[in-house]
Amino acid sequence: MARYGLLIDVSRCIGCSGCVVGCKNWHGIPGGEEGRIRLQDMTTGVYPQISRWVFPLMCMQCDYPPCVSVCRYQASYVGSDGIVAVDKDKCVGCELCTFACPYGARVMRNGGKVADSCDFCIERIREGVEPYCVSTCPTGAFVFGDIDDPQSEIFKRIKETKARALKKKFRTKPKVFYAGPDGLRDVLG
Amino acid sequence: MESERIVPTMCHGCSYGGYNCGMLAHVKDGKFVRVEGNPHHPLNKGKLCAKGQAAVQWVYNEQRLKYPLIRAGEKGEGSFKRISWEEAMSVIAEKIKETKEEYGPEYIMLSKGQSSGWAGLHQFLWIRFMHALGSTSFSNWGPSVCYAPQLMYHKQLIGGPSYARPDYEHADLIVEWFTGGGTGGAARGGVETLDTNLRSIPLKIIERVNKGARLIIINPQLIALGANGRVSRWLPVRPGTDGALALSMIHVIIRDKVYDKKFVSEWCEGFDKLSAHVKQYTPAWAEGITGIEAREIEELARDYATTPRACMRVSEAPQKQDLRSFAMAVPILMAITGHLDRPGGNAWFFPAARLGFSTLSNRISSKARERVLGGDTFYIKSSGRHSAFFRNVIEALISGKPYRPRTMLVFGSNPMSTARNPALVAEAFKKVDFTVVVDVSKTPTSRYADIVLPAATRYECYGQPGIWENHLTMSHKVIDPLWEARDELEVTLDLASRLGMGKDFWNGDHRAMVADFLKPAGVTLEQLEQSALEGIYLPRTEWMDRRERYEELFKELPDGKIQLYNTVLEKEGFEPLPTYVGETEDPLSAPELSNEYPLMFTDEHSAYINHHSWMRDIPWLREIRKHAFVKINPATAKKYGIDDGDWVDIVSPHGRMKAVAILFEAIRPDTLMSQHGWWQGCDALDLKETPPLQEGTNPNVLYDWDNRDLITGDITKNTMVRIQRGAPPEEVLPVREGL
Repeated sequence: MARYGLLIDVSRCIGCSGCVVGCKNWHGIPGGEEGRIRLQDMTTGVYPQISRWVFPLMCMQCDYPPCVSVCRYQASYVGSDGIVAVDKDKCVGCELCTFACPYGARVMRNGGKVADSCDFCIERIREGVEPYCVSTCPTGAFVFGDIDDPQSEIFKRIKETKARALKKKFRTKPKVFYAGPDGLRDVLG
Repeated sequence: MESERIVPTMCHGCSYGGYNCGMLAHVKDGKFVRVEGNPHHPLNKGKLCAKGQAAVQWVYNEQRLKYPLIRAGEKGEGSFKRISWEEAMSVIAEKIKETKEEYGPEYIMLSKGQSSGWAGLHQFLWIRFMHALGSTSFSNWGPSVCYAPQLMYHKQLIGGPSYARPDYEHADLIVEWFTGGGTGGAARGGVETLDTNLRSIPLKIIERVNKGARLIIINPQLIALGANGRVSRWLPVRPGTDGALALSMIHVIIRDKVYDKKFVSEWCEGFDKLSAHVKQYTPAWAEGITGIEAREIEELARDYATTPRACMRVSEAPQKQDLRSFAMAVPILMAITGHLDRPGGNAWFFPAARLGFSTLSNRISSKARERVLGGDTFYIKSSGRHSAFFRNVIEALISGKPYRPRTMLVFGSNPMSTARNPALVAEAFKKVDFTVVVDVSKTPTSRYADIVLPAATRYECYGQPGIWENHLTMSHKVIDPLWEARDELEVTLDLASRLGMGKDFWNGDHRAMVADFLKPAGVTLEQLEQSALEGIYLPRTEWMDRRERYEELFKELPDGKIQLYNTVLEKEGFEPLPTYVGETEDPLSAPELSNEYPLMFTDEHSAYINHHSWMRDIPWLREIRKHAFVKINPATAKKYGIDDGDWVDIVSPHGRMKAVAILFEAIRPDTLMSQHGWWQGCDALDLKETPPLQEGTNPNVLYDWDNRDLITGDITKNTMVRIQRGAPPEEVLPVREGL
């Protein structure tokens, strides 16, 4: 079984919000509700020695997902393909997962009735199509695929770019990786 | 329930009417539900930016203009009554006839904005409409302060039909010179000037940078294009001083003899006079003006000159009073370094065919041609007096000199937000007898209309073709127009028929018009309709891919050579060489203002999530940035007791605007940057409309209408300000549709 992951090559990200709005467009998420993707735009250093950093944040698809551990209703679950998702029929809207997620990726939907986060466009993957953000990113900053398959592009690119997860200290073992220049390491934490 | 049906079309996000990104519109049960990029479209290859992704919310927006309206209160008030299309159209036709008979055709004016693009079907049709009436009072309003003035200098200096654009795909050094740009080079595409859309440019730059090309950004703020380690050198230039920087680069390049001697001797005239002239512009001199260290200027100049494949994009952003020094120095830089029309430099790009039909310009009497507003200026004369000059139009409306147009048709233009000095624009509009505004949104400009007509979005319109390089394609109707919106093209054809000009306008047959428009490409409408998904690729011409086409491109120039010492300008009584003047409102030239107004101010062009004054009513886009903003360095903010997210007042000698402070480390501490185009409310997010004039969210109230470029009239967007915490702006009731 494939173990799906996502590589975000920040050297290609220009912070255009294409993925942020694209995700809402594809999934029909109303305006005013928190989306599944948000954009980080920050600087390090002091003027004029400045570095600026822009990149998207979403569910990190952890191998050890706290949102699943805390859910008492089996609404947060890990599918056979390793994808963390929410079973909307089981979710009671207790919001526990939103507090448990160290990345702040879980949001509440339908007026707080149900939890939601990025599930790699699970319905598209089952049809053999990559997640929407991956296909729509104007600069091609996303690579999606099986991170266990040495032949896959993502496997090679993660290795080649020494990509790493955001805030590894949480020890949740994300399947979303960030690649970029040297200074990125300090930003990712 | 039907499954989703897919209609291939083109995006409306940054303009419509011409060539834009390819889009697949998903329709379900008759409703436009979502979009994705069209993978067969060579420009965007299946990708879409945020604006394009928000198409559905743009179409189904309850804040849109829905019905034809007639004024029910004072001009400017925004009180209207609903009327039928039939009533509206017959009133408009009657007024046009009256004006023509009573005053003459030139008293009928038509203006458009950037919304429908520059050289597309809409522009052709509207110019033809005016010419058929016998009027030359056509005016493109937006570019009066950006694209066109700089282009005038560019053409006077180095010829060619348009800008020599960066050939990113082959460049080893990319200079993004974009004073005032928020997103900078990350956005320009098929058309030269639109920096508000993503199109193909960011990808080209990034591909190149990832292959080792160096990226230099000259901008008071570090734009996102330079984020994530991409920028190799960021030069935070003092706003408005780009001319000094460019002239100093010329100084270094000539002093160090790193110019292209062969090119200069074969294709340039006046080099010795230029050399003598720029001796004064030493890097030490420029450091004091630009805030960029002399050493950095030296390195930049040599780097640009000695990198064989170096390109530069300056675009329309240098909107300044001293446009001249900059707009002359830049093409000189490209020329003397031998970077013109060479791979990886700045080259002229041509499409395989130009679409269009006759604009019936032979219908214009020489008397009418003489009467073009602004026609006595070199600027309008040099462009053949094809259109009136925005500044002269506004001033003529107010003063009645040389004459006041009586009837005005405004298509997709919102100068009450986008033009400098909106108070002056308002005054001008109040003086027009009869104004029609056709738009998708209830803009502040529509408040001054006598009749307002609801325009359909591109997704509700029949085909609009466009060409980019050799790819020809067209948009297709996704759904029927909502409410009572109508396609502007059909409105124009209808109006032409009502005025008895049907014969010149295909007897109102929209398809026949489009077919005619396609003729120069040798493609029929049926062929294009049949290839809705992929479009048609015309053969690439030898001319498109050839470089160093100097003989042809310089042929309009005196002696067929680049005029480093410009004899044409000299004959007109202007200085033949670029002399740095600077901005009137700059602490260096107005130290007496510094106590009261200690900071420099300018505004960004546009951003990825909105387009000029459009699209603030789209929840998906607006929630990313809810309020008009001003970027301020944290050190400066601290000094004035301002926190991130505070509402602030920004006060210049000319006005006061309000904005939310964004504390941003990557901006010059002596500079504030805001963004134009903020006026609109967003009902879904409970955000209210703001006043278009003073105390609103419009940076254009801060600038001086009279601080403008000598030749082109380009009005400055540089001034001096103070900043303090303040209350949020008052709420303004949106345009009321009455009953």
